[in-house]
Amino acid sequence: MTTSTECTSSSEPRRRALKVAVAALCSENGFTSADDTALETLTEMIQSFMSEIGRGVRGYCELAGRTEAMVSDVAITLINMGFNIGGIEQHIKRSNKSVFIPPTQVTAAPIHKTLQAGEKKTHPTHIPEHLPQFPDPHTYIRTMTHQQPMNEYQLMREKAASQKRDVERALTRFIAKTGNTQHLFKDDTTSFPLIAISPSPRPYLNALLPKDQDLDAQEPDQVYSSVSKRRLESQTDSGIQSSASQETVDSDSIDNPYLRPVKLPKKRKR
Amino acid sequence: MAASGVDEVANGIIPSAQTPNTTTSNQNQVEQKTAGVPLSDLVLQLEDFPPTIPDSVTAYYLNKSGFDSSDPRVIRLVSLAAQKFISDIANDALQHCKMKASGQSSKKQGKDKKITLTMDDLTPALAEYGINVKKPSYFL
Repeated sequence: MTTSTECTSSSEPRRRALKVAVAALCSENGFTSADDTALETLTEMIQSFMSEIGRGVRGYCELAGRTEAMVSDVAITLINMGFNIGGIEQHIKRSNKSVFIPPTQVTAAPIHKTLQAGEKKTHPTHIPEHLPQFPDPHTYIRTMTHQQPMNEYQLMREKAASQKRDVERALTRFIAKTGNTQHLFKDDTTSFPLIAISPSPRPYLNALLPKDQDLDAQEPDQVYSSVSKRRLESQTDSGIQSSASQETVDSDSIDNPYLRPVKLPKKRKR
Repeated sequence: MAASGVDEVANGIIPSAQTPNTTTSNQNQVEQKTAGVPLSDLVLQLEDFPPTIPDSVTAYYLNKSGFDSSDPRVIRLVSLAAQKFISDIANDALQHCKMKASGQSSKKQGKDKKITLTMDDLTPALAEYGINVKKPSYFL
């Protein structure tokens, strides 16, 4: 059975009216008083009965391709529920009908003005009025979640330039901190580190011989160049304190696992 | 009574004489007339007999189930059917009560002046309809 356990503010008065009607029917039949439990039971039953009829009628109505119910739908539904239709007429024509006094129409205005934010939209004509209302109009407000992209040329250029500068600075600093450096000032070792030049013995060779961009081919060159560089450094032993810094750099790199020299995987030659 | 009602209705809805065990053709026709087109006649008389349950209440419960109708007569028909349903049950409960009363106190007043509808009477009346209610005998 479709008994709903929700009780909204709109179902309360209807329930009470139903109870009054049930009590009237009972008194018609001859009862002078009734137990509250019994009345409640009968009220619940009549509510379920009506809901069930409503469901059945809607089903038959939709089956026939209609949206509005007709008498025939009600008839078939009642028959389906095992109800004796012929008895209705009899019941109508009984003598001691009680007058039904509808309960006083209380025009309650439950809408709090303070909480209301704008008028709700009314239903379009094809929607019946008993269905729930549309939500408040602020439901339909849309705010974009992303900012408008900046299209101004000047700002974009400035942004690009500053990004480029930042990237260059960061990169050079990184290489200076992790690799070999030469210093701009003899005394000050930390302020302006310059990336050390690694002189190659035959500089014109690079320009003359074309090379593929191949890391494997570069490996021996790098090793060779770093070895030669160290020899050169130790040999020259100039006033530049790059050797010290180099050692410190080396020691730093040894200590810090993230600053160790890169180990490339050995490529197996098949 | 319910069973016979169903038979009548079945005969009415199926016009052709498919039931060989009905008594006379006259009766068949009479049943056809009363049950085959029962409600449209009823609907015409509806204005004279307003139901006890207000229209708005019935309409509310029907709307909850998805029933949509702009014709108030259909709504009245439903409320009349519901009324009859409850009235029948109340009647049965009354019979039970009177049976008990007549069984116990036949010497006392000829008629019980105060007949109260209690769950004790209602439960067997509902049981005949196949509805089993269990009332808790005490509240914690």
